[in-house]
Amino acid sequence: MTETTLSPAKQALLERRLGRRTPAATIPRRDENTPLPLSYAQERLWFMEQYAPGTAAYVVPMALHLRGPLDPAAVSTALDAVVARHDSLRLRVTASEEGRPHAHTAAPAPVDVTLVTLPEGLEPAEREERTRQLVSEESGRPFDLAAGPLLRAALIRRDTDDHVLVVCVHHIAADGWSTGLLLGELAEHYDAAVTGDRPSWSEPEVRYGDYAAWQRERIGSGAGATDLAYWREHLAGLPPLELPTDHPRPARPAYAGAGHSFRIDPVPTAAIARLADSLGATPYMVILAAFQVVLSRHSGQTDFAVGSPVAGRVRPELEPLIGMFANVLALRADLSVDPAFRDLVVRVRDRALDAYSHQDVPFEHIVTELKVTRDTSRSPIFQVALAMQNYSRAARSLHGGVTVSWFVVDAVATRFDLEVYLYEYDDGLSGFVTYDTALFERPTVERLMKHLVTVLDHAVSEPDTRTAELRLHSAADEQAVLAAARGPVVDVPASTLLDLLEHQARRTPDAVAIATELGTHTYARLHSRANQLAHHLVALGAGPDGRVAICARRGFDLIVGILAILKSGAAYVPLDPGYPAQRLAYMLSDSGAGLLLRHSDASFGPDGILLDDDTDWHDYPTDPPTVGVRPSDAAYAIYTSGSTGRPKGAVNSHRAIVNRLDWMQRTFCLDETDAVLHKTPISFDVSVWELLWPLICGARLVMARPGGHRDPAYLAEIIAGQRITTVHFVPSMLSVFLTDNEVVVQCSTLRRIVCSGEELPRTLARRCAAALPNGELFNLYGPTEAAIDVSWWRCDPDEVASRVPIGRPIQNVDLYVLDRRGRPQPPGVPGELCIAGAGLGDGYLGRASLTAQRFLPHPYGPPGSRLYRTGDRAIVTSGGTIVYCGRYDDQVKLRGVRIELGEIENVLRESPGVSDAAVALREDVPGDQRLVAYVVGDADPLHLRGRLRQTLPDQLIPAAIVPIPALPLSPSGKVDRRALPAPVKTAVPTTAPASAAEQLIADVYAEVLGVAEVGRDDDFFDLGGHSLLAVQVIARLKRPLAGAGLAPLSVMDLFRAPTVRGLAEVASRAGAEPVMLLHELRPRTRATAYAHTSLVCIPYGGGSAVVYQPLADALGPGYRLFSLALPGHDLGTADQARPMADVVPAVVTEILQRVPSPVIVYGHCGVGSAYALATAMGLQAAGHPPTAVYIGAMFPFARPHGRLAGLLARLADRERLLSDRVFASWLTGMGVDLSGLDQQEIRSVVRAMRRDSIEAENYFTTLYADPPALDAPIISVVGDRDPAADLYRERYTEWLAFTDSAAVVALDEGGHYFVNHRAAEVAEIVSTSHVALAAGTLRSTADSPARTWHVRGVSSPGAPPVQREGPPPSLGRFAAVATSQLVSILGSALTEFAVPLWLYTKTGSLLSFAMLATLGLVPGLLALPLAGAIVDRTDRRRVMLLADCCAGGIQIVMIALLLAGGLGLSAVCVMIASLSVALTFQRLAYASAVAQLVPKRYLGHANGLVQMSGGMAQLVVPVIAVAALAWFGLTGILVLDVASYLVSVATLMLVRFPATLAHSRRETLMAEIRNGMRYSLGRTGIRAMLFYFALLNVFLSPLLLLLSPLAMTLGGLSTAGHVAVAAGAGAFAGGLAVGVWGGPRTDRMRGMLLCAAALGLAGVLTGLRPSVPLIAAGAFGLLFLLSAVNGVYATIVQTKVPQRFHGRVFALNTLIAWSTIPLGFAVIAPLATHLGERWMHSGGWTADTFGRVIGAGEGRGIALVYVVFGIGIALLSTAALRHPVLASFDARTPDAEPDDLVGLRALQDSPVPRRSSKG
Amino acid sequence: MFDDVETFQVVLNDEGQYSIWPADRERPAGWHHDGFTGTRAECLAHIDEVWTDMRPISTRR
Repeated sequence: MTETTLSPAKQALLERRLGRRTPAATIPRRDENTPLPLSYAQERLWFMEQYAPGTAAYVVPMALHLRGPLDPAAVSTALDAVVARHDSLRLRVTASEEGRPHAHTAAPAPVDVTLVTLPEGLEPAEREERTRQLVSEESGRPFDLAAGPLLRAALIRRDTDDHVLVVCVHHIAADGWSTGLLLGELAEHYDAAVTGDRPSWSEPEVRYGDYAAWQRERIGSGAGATDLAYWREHLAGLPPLELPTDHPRPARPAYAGAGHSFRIDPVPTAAIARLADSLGATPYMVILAAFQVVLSRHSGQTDFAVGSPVAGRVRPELEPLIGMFANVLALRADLSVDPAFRDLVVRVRDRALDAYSHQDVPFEHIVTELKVTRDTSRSPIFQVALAMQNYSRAARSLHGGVTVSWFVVDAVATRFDLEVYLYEYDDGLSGFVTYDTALFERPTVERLMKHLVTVLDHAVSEPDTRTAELRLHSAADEQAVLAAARGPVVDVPASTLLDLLEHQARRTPDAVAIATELGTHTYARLHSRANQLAHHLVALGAGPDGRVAICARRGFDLIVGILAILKSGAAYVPLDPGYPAQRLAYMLSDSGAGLLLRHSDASFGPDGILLDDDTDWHDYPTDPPTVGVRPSDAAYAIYTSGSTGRPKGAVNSHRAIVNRLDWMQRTFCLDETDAVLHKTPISFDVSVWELLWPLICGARLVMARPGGHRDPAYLAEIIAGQRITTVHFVPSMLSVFLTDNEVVVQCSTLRRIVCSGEELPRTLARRCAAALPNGELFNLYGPTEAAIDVSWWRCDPDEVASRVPIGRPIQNVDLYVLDRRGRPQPPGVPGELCIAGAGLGDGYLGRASLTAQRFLPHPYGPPGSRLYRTGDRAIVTSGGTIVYCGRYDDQVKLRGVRIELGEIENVLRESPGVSDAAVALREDVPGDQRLVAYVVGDADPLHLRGRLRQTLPDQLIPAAIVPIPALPLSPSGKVDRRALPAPVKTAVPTTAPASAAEQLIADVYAEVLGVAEVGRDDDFFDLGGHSLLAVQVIARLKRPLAGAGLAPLSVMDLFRAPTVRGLAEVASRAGAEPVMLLHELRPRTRATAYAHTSLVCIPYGGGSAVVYQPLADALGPGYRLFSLALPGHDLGTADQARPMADVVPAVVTEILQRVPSPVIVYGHCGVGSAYALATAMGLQAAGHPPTAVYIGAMFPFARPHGRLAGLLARLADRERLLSDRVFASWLTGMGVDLSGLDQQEIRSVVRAMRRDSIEAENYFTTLYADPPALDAPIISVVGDRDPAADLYRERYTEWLAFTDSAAVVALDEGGHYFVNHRAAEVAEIVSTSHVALAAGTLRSTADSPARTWHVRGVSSPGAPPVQREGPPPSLGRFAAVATSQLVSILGSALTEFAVPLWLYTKTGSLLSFAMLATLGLVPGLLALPLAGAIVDRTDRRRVMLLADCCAGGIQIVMIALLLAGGLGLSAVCVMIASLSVALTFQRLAYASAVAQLVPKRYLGHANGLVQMSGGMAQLVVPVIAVAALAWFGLTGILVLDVASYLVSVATLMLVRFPATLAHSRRETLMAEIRNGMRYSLGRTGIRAMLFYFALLNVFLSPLLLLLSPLAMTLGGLSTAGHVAVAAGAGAFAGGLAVGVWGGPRTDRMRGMLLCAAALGLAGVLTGLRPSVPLIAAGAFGLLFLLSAVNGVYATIVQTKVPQRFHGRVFALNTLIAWSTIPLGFAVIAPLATHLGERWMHSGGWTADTFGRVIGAGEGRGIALVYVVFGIGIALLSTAALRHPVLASFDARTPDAEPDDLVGLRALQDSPVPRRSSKG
Repeated sequence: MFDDVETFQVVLNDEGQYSIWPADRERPAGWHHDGFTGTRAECLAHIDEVWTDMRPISTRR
């Protein structure tokens, strides 16, 4: 509905606009003594000159054609007079030092008029051209605002009475209106100068400066606030106008312009006026409405703004002033809901009037105040302006008959994309348009203006027409466009693909059809094989009308399969085997394909027909089956991305594909000299021509190997090697391919390079032409819904157009560019590209509505034909070629793959924790397109990515997933994609690495991160890198960088420069910077803001500074984190390790210099704690003590001092002997990831660690000698599952030796390296604990399932002291108890060894011997759980005393019985059994009490001593036992033993135990075994290993038991003693050897089994001959190898099982292993021996056979047991080596994951949801 | 194309292929109205119901 009534206010406004003004208050004169102000417009222009200096964009040119007898001197005089009269023309603006404009008015001075005289006798055209050139030069020269002058003139003398005067003024001094004034005044002054009259000018009432002051005052006082509010509302959310341009928009405008004139004839002009009148509007408003229609149709937008310049002379007194008053109003277009033109004019009128009433606020001010998003590539708010100049341009004549007319000035500059000026003349409107030459070509602008005139004409004659219906071009033009849309009509015979293929096969049966890496195949072979398979398919029911799927990797089988399907008459459905199984399963079922062809080893396809196994089909005939295929039948169906979240199958007929292949053959004429490379995945329809085209024209089809299509070097190799002539590339892959020159030079055989799949950039086309001069490049286009391609373009490298066209339609295909109403768009106007004709597909499989929606009735084609809407935006150029301009809908193309964003969005929306999602294709960096997903909800992006990977192919996985609070919506409620934020991080390859160093780094990134390719701007961390991987990168770069002569890199370098480019720069910059010890680690997730505290962190031994990156990320914004890079600790760097005494002072100095206080020091583990403490002391000594010291996962540890203790400690320090490899295994178990490092690197880490550890121990040892007093509190942070932090509830108080305030905080389920995995909690702890401690509010907290860390102990001066009864722990106390225990243990061992032997010598009964041995072992074992529970709960000293008394008592009873002669077998059994129970109690209590007795800092050494003494006892006992038995008899031994217990009991009576914490089990033994069972049995490898051990022990235990009896068959007790010593020595040596060797590096299980096999052979050796030395050697070997087996087994557990499960696994293994020992001891050994003795006794049935070898007779039965069981062990181990699980154990069983990760999961799995919270 | 059209007609050609066309626009030659008129969604739902055999009539066996 048209509204013609106006409110009174608007009526008044309109009247004013129409020239009927009402007077207003005058502008006051400004105080001349104040500085000259600039108006807003002037200020903006001044700024623009600073921003883009030296352009002519702001030159206002004016050229006058003066004909007649001109007086040049008078022209000069007149110019001088005008300049003198107007201040503005004498303005100068300089910049102050602060960069502010400073204005002043220069004194009047003569204008310099350049006189140019054209040579005489020029042709008129030439004269015109020269003039035009001079005018352009004159108006193209920039002004200097600071130096002036701002007006200059040139007089061109063309002939005697023919001049052109050019006057140029800077826009800051004059506007369009001013040019009219200037002309008038010039004329007046000229006349005066010629006649001598004085001109009649009076002084102006006000001056420009008054206006500027008044304007500033007005805006500044807030009068402009209402206006501003209006503009703010009016312009909210305004998008830029994006007209299709001829050239890509440069990042910054060059302001270079050109102009074009046009006319609007009188009749429409009158109609415009009439329509305007009838609607209460102005002609300008009508023209603007029409202009909006044209812009909307060209841009496809309904919302944009057009700049409307206004004179800005808002007060009458301003009208006669020359100056910059012009303002420009942004009039927003609204073409929504397709209004009638009449209504559009009313809309324009209302908006214009509203804008006029708010025009007092200058545009510059609006731009500033609205904080318009700066887009440097275009002008703010609007990009196109339309002006109607209504000031006087009327020509007048000068005195003396000189006529004056305007000389048209070529525009040379423009500030906008387009500026249209209309001038009213009597005979109509003349128009002038200037355009940005960087964007547009002249024909485009001409066409645009032509469209404006056509639309205006149509609109004013039929104003009720809807705007979308208005004609841009005439009916005749429309017909021409339709005609041009049709491709060449070619007669293609009605045949099928099959006909073509068979025909060729018959023609050249013996030519090579297929070449693969594996060989070549002739046409005959290909077809005969395909025919056989086709028969099989037909037999299975395939035929025309049906579909058969094929999911196979590239190769001969693939093409056989496809041909077979076609030959069966069915359509083939290619499925890419690289797709996720879920997607393939969907496609298979959706396609309705009844049959599937696949490879036998395919992971997808439950029951398919096997391509590589022809058992089922090789008997079929080799000639083709007869099937009635017709051209209209479907040939193939290819799945393409679908907006419904499901891919859809697009079907194409034989007719369509035959037309397409026929075109290709007619165009390119392939023959037998050609070879086509097939490398496109079969899910992409390009593969259809790649595969079939060569086979219908006798060429060779060369198949790239699977996956090879991504490898440029491989492609080049195959192109050269196979003499490929024709190849297809998706443009982005072509770009990659061309990057490597070495690759490209090999490809001289290439004759044609075909591109399709995505837009082909012009630069790439040029690169291709330059790199492959012999190859022609073709750009093809087509959707899957048509038979491959529908248009083609031969690229001409010299072509200038910005976009490579997709060309013209191929034969028998029509391509239309249609508007929203389905009518052809004129050239240059984008519309939807639609396809009709022979290439059209049949539709989507089983999708009726979708097919109906996309395949429309064809309005311009044969009756009943269809038209496919591609959804692609395209333009037809005036030359008739088609240019692709992107997608209409959400469907995008990325690297050649069509992607429906909706499909990805649907998967995201269906994910838990996602409430809404949007996906956009972004190009934040030009040329770098990437998918970005935006999700609303609390889902974890990483998790989402994993989910997407399960369902979507790789190309559809967004490069970034950005969580946002809500999706931005446009007014219409659609997702406003424009408002989606750019992702902060980037992840997709951008440009290829540019230098050798970059390539090196990119390769290593790709290798370490497992990604396909890495671009030079890719960030290591964005690609999924983390600190551990960073170490690998640096390690791997070390050698190649050195080889390339580059500086070594450190891990810190990678953190500071994580991109390929950045890191390469660092490497290329030789280490010129001074070496810093501290590195600031900045959070990767947020900006560092103001910080109040600095954390100085010291890494753990062997750790790099970057281990604190997670902590840096987790810390609050108030913290900065500096991490110490210990010299010599960063892999890859050349710096040498330095002693701690050197490093610490340097660190302290650096902290004082660089690190803002206050400082908190954190150190982790041994090295970290020593350095942390030393650093804190150093800072304190320097007068800047830290606020607090946090020590992670460690307590002080020292070496016992004193000569003897120190010596013993050193002796017991078994660690020194251990190999680096043992340490590495231990590290793995603790959670250090060493994978990916080579042996040398691992060794260097371990070495550094061991060296550091010794240094740290030295430090603490000396520290205890003279304990300093630290003012800062020391707070321990530990993981409660970390063995290194055992007893933390007590041990934290050890810090009190150095400070008077300490506390301990424990992380639930924490391991040793919790800084890596529990950083968030550590961040909380280190930011809060010391504050609470200082405030006295830190208290031990009760266990709460809601927390994941707890304060476990506080000791501060204010808190009650730790109560401790009893004496303090001491080395002396420990030494006394240890010695006495050693004595008693020796005594009992003696008894246990001697009693069975004694019995054996007395009875000769092996059965009794074995039973006794079993009784000495088993009861103690059974008592273990009970003993453990009792020891953990009661006083260890009492248990030890009681056990000692019992043991001693038992022995006394034994002596008594022995002396009384009543020591029978049954009594001995009872005694030995009781003794073993008592000993179990004693040993457990003693082991547990060690921690209580010794100062805990020496605990490590003390435990070492205890272990050593146990080992010694084992070695010494047999010697003593044998000797003692010989000398004193059993009684003597028993007496000795009783005496040892007396010593022990006496010592225990005398020595009081400190009330400190003892060792206790984390879990009871039973729980350990139970949990171990759960852990081990769930893991195939470990389960198999346990079963192996159980079996092994059945054989092994008799061998261990029978050593003494075997020895005694050859001699007496002493012989048994010698053998026992040999066995003990073997055990010792074996343990030592494994320690030094470290076990095998990789194949540990294999190594262990080999050792065990050798062990069996040692057993065989033992029984081989009746010789004592041999038996001793065998015993040595047995025990040596047993130790080796056990040692290697321990490293297996350490490396494959997380630390916290070690105890459980060992406990379970002990249980299983020992469970078979009694069986071996008590049953098998005696039984076997019994049998053996019988058989081997002279006359026994094996005495003559085995006996010949090992000797027959007495005792050789035992020997036989050794031989048989030894062989048994060897066989068992060999079998285990071949067992699939154990054989693949090393490879299959992954290394243990970090212990802390296990803990973290335990927390997450706990029944109560836990969260980290303040302790 | 036809994005702002509100009412469509369901049309089919001699091959039994269905499509939609603006209700107020003249049908291209060779296309017949199947009698159903409605919004785009209604028309497409109708097509899903009636167009069950999507093979062109001439190719059916």
